[in-house]
Amino acid sequence: MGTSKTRLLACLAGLVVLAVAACGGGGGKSGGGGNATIPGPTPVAPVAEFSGTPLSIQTGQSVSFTDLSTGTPTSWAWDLDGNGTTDSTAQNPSFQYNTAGVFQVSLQVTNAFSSDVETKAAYVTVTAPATGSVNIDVDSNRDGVVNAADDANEDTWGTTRGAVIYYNLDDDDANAAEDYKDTTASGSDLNDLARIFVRQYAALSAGGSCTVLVSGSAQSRIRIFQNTAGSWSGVYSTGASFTLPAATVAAGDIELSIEARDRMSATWNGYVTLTLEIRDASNTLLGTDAVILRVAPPLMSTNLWRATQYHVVNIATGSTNNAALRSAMQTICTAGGFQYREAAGTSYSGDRWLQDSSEFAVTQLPVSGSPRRVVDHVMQLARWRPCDAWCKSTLLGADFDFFERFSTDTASTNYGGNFEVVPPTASMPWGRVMFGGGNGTQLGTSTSVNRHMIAAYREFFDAAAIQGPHLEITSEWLAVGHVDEFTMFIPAPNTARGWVCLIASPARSLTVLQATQSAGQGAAAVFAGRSGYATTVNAILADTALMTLNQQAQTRIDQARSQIKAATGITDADFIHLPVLFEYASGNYVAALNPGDVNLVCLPSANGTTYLAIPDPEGPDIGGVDQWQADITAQLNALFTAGSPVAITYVDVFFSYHDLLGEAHCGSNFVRVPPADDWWNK
Amino acid sequence: MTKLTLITALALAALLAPALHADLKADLDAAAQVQPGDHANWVKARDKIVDMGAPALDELAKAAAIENWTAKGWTRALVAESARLRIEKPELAPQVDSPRGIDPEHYLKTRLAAPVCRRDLARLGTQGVPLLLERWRWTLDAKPFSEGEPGKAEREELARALLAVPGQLADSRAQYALLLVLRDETTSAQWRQDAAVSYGQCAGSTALEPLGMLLDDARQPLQVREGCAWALGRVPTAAALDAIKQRLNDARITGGETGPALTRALVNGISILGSKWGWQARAVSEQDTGNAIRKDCAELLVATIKQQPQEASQIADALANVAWQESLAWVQDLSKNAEVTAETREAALKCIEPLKMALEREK
Repeated sequence: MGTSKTRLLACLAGLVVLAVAACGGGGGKSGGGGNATIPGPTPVAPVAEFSGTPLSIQTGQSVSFTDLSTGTPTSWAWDLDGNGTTDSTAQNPSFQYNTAGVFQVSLQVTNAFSSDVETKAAYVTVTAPATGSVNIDVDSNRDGVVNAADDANEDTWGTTRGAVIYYNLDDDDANAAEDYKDTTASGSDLNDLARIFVRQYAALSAGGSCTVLVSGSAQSRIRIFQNTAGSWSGVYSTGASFTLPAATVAAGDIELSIEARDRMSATWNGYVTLTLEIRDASNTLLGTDAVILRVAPPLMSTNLWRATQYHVVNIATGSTNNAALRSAMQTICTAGGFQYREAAGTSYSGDRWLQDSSEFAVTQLPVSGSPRRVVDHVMQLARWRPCDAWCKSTLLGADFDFFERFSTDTASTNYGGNFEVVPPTASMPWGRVMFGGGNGTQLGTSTSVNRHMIAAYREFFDAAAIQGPHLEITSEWLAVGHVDEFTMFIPAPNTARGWVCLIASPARSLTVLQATQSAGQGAAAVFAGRSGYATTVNAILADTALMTLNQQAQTRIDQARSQIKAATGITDADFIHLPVLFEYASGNYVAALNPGDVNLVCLPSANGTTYLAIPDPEGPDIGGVDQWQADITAQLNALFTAGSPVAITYVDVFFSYHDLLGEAHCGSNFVRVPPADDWWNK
Repeated sequence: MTKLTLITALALAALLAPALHADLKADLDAAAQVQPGDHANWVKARDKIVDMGAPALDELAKAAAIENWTAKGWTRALVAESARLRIEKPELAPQVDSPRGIDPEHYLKTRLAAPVCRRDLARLGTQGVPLLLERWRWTLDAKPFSEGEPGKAEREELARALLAVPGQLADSRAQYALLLVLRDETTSAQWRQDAAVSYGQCAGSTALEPLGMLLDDARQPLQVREGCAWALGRVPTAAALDAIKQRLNDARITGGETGPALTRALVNGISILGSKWGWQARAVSEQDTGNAIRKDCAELLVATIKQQPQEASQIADALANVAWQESLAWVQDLSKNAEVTAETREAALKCIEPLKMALEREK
């Protein structure tokens, strides 16, 4: 709405004013200077101003106008419909509008000294009376059906209202491609599309129009189909709006369906506002209605979720074969009731790092007749190695999403191992995604290192705003650079919080080694029997360079601990320190010296037992007891209860994973079941 | 070697001793003279010695004795030790001549899918160091690397590991080779930096002067000067701390464009020199010295907060590694000291939490 003012300096007869300025709005005062003033009445010019209410009405209704002018006007001339003629000379008129349109209003006020005009363009909006209601509906109350109950507050998204749509990443038609790529919708895929109804507007004439406007950031990121006698055809994929035929709108309700076809990012938070506009043949706006929808974010699984499937690559032969891990996991899967699934290593050129290639999640959607619909989801990470293909080729299908990697960047900080989820806290009820990285230095140097999970992934979770904003903890000092090299969250039913953060601890390693040495067992072998690797407690403790390096590693891990505490509110008591030492691996970057026991497989089961497959740290052996193992077992057992026990298996991953810069977790992946709760309610 | 073979070899050695002695001496001299990088002639010269086999072992051991590793004689000692290892421990040399860490067949299986050499070569221990020096000096490019970028990465990884590992293992025999690299202005700054750190670890107090000179030389690449600052911290003496302190107080080092980076490098040197765990690893007889140095390191770091508050992160890291108990009170006092700048108080405050965590775990 624009306003304009035209000052009419009509100095009226009878005044003796020598100073032109005195004819302005401020009022003149006699005084010094060069102007001679003859005493007389002080001139006060009027300044026009007004307001009206209501400003949006239907034809036949009235607007009341109030004069707000200053300067004591003595007459008023109102042009209330913008046609250039005076409609009223009352000071505070009321005016009935009988035709639809948008009207300019002007007021000219006059007093004895001068006059002034105030014009407000596009001030009153008058629409035709509702012969039908302009109405677009979505499942705002999230009960899986679209009906009159959805009408209230349908344009606001919150914990109780707001429709949900699906980023159509599964493959119902089995064409080996995500369904959002399809330009048609049919069959069971229709169950994945949220419904929208444009309600009948019977009075819409043939020359009228029905337009649905798509909010700016959502444009080209959704696809909408129209149901015509059971056949669905696309009506929107790009642009600012789409139209529906007036005759169809006049004939009855129109059923549409919507899917998202892009991910959330720094430029789109997943919200879509659809605004329905209906106009008559003269392009007069007959009414509008708006609804809001939000894309369901993938809920990344935490180690607290019950596991249903365990995945591993079968490396059957060679010195780095993983027979020991596979065998142990088959036993665990049998005991815990998990489905054990192997990918053939030969299909992926021996690439065994399943954890790095993908992350698992679920997508939850409102559905009629049950609390919610849960779609499994696998997110491919930007890695570009052979087994990246596994998740699409093996898992993509009906109700199993495949979320293709976001980037061509191949830095190791983008891998899945650098992606963990802090379990739920009071402020983050679905947990919080955690990446490793930072602007730090390589250990033993002051060389700056800036390594991070690539922005696209960080921005995705920040925009989704359910398990974000993301948390970044220092890991740039590691050769691979992943959070799972030194942190892992596991259930802890015997604690108030219900979970703990396992954290690699060179200090803990040292404590155990020193105790072993003090007990006269300094000659005890570490990595016993591993030719080229075996050493002793004494040798480790006397290695100045190694000890210096490990103290620096401990300082970085302490820094990470501080970062986790500050971001989540957990305390020192929530960390369990497990013995891990580090060594220089490449250049001045480091990796675990002993098989990294923190990098474990955690599988909570339906039978109440949590199964932990822990890399065998191969610590000092005294009387057949591995002192590092004993320390780990004692600490972990204390976290569980008789009713919710833990079953610990130490797994030999020395050559199959550890010697290749990874551990058991790095080579595994898991499908899990989320808690029975809805993300949209929190 | 079987008993019979050994007896035969010894008998043969006794029979041939005079001739062998003369030939070996000449061959060692000749091999030591082979120009660096001339792998073809080196391999011929070396193999001529290696081919002498077991009978040459005693003479080679004498030639490779520690007293022969001098500024003038180290290449000859290196030839002897390399040949001796190739005869006596033939399983070692292939791990240096053909490291799996630069073999795509192996490294593409790793989580990084990139060449990774340093830890494998370090596992050979000090016995492998002469082979590393040999590879550096004569045979770095004896075998082709992969084509293109992967090959460049393999060569870089190998070269850096060859330079870093002798220092990591504190093998004093490597100091002369490393000093040559450090001083060679035609060598890449990265390699010279690696050589600097390694040299500091190998050469002890002898290293202080060359390191200090290069650190002070503004014509040197920053990377080399940083490496020298780090290396000062690898010389576990009070004199090394004095050298660092002197430079932290020298505006020619801490000022100008390179000042901040060199300040951080010197703070890093203190962090290493004062490392509590590092000193714990040394002999009981060295603990008193260690405690005195650590205390001085902590004091110097707290003083540096006042001089260089903008480097609080690096200083906090260093204070946590030195983990000197009293330093917490010093830093806390500084954080409340009204006579210092607000920036200094803020920097001191930043150091408290990491230091507290370090001291807590050291109890």
